[in-house]
Amino acid sequence: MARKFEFSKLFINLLFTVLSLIVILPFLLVIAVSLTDEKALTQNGYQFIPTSFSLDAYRYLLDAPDILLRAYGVTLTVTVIGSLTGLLLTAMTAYVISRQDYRYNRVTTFYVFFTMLFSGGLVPSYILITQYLHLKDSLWALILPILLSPFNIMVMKGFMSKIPHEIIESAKIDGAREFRIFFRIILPLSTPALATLGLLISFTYWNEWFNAMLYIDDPNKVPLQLLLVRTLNSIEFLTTNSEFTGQLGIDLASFPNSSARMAIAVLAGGPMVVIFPFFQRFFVKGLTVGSLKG
Amino acid sequence: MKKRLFGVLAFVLLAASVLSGCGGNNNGNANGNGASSTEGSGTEGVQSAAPDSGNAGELKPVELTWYYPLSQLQADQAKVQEEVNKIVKEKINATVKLMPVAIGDYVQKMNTVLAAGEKFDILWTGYMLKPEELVRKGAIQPMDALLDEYAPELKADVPQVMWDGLSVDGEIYGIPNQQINGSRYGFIIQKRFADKYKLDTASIKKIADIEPFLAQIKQNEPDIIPFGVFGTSFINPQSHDDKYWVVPGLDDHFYIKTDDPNYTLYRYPEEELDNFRLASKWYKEGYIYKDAATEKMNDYLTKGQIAVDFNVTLKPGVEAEVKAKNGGNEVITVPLSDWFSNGYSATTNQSISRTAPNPERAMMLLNLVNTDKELYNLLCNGIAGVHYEKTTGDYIKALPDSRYLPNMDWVFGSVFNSYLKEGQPENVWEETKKINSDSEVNPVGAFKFNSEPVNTEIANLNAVWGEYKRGLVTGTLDFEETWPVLYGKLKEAGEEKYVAEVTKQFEQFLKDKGLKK
Repeated sequence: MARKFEFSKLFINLLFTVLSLIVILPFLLVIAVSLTDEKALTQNGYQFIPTSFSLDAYRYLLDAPDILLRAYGVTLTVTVIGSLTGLLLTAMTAYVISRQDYRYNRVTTFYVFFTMLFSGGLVPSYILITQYLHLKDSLWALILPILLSPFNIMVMKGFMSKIPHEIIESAKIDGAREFRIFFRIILPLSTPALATLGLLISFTYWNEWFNAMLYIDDPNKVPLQLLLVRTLNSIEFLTTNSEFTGQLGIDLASFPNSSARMAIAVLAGGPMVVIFPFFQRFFVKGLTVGSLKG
Repeated sequence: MKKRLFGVLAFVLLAASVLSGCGGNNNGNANGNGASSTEGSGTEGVQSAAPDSGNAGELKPVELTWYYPLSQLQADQAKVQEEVNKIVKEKINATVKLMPVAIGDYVQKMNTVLAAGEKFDILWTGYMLKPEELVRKGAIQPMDALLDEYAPELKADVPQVMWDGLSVDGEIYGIPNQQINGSRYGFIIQKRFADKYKLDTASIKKIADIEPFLAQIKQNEPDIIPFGVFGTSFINPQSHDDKYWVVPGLDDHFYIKTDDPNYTLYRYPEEELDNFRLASKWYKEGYIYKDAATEKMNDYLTKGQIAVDFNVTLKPGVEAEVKAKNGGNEVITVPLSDWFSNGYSATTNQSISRTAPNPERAMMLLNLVNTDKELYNLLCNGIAGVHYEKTTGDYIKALPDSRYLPNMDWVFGSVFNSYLKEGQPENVWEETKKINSDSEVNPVGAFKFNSEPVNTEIANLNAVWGEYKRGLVTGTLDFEETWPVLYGKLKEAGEEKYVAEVTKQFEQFLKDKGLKK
């Protein structure tokens, strides 16, 4: 009996060790490749333990560290402001349409849902942002277009509909007005959903580069991801157009091509990988609750 | 009652916001119309500004916006712009807002900017953003009058053939950034192998003549790929050989015979198909890498693993340029053709936007960039002493860790005005100009196809070709088996309709040019 018990424990532990390895190893490989000398890469392929260690890829990317630091700053600012306001507005919208005693909740829900199916398209958005809102070269051009996602509202609404209506009624009887009900009762009750959506929203902001490509020309306001996308493109451009590298005096055989790509992944994704575990305990609950109704 | 009012209000709000969402397109159109009306005001501007020209002091100050691509955005862009504006302010009392766009984003960004009808003055056009297509979309404006009025030096400096190349329906739509304008194809061969196997370069007159050499490499050098064809760079089709000229701007499968007074169009002539047959044969012999259709050439080239490479621009000094790309191995070149040119192919130019608030000042700026050597080199190389230093004569050397090194002289203007970089022969621009003027010019190089009537067919044909191209070009697919299938699919995709439309427009072109009665 005891032996059998131990065996199943061993099996489960083994299974999850293997699963964890499957998840972790690619990350380790990415880090390892980013630290490998490009020449060794072309000879031996990707290896977990670099045969010859090199920081060339990072040297290439961090060539002008002030630009990269400023880009980190822009991304951080946009992510923090965007996530907080976005989360608040999502919660507010979702709360209103989740209230059964709000007469037009079906209509409003449909209105939100409708934008999931049809969007204005690229050119009208561009015209709106640049010519009507005059947000070109403003950080708001990075924040506003993705401030509210109908999908997130729907997930949030699904969660909030689960909160018994009696809580709201009893709060009313105790003399609470709408704002107090929302901020003191509903929001604390929705912590798992808030954490989940907060993470999703912050990921969206962190990864956003397309709006920046369209609306940001000022080099001081370029977010991290756009900077890295551009670096990636220019690496591609340099390796396919030898006439430029000839003038630049770069030896293409040792030019950090693959390793620079991996270094970009480390620089771009690193911070989010660190943040993720802190949210994870909310994540499971928040998302499943939402998904049932979502 | 109150509730009802709310209901109505909610509905109105809803309807309004839905409408505004859909109305975005109308806005686009409205702006398009606005754009064409600014063209009118633009020409008025020309007339009113005309008396002022020649005296910078009397011109009212304006700000010009100039979009162009760069392979890498430059850290010291602002500093350089400041210096540029010192010159521009003094000469034409204007300031320039330089708007470099990362080259990978350029097409998408500019298409959005143009579709939105944004107001700006100058944009770079070229192989990525073709002037003819922009003209059909109504995005750029004709500049004949502006050129005559504000840029006589520039107009005179550029050979007529280039102006012809940039004309659509008889009007000029772009200013060429002059550079090499001829092509010559041939082989680039690693010197170590040519020496080892005593390759007699004089004996190689056509593509097939390299075969015995490839066989030697195949036999004796197991780690080396004899012939570098990887589907994206290919040996066919040739734009010109002793028998045919390709009809430019189409899909490269239309040919006319050299010296044919009737200019008969040929589609897929046997000589072209023979090149595919050759690729097929070489693949079977093992001269072409077995995974060529899916692998990337650069991964092998930079390791020095490719013995013979086919190249279409064997320009002066190319040996030095591709040495690094060949893993640092010395190379020799074997040209197979003389210099030839499709006339001007509109590879890299500047155009003036339909929406330009100040087209006449934009033209003055372009004239200045192309005639003022100091301004041009400021744009290309940055500030002397900060970003580069002069060595001897016209030679310059970029300073280490320079924060302004675009290295794309051809984006800004005529490269003939640029300072020389280390390794460039002193007479490189004279040589290039000579090639440009001596190249044999394609008699139908000025033909411009209007693809609008057959857009669907072209998309379908491209899809079919996309499916087979890499396989066929690398010889991975057996030619004799594949061609009938491919040709059948091309026919289904609208090949005949496309050919008929091309033929119709081509005949019209011949008539208009007086080449045929």
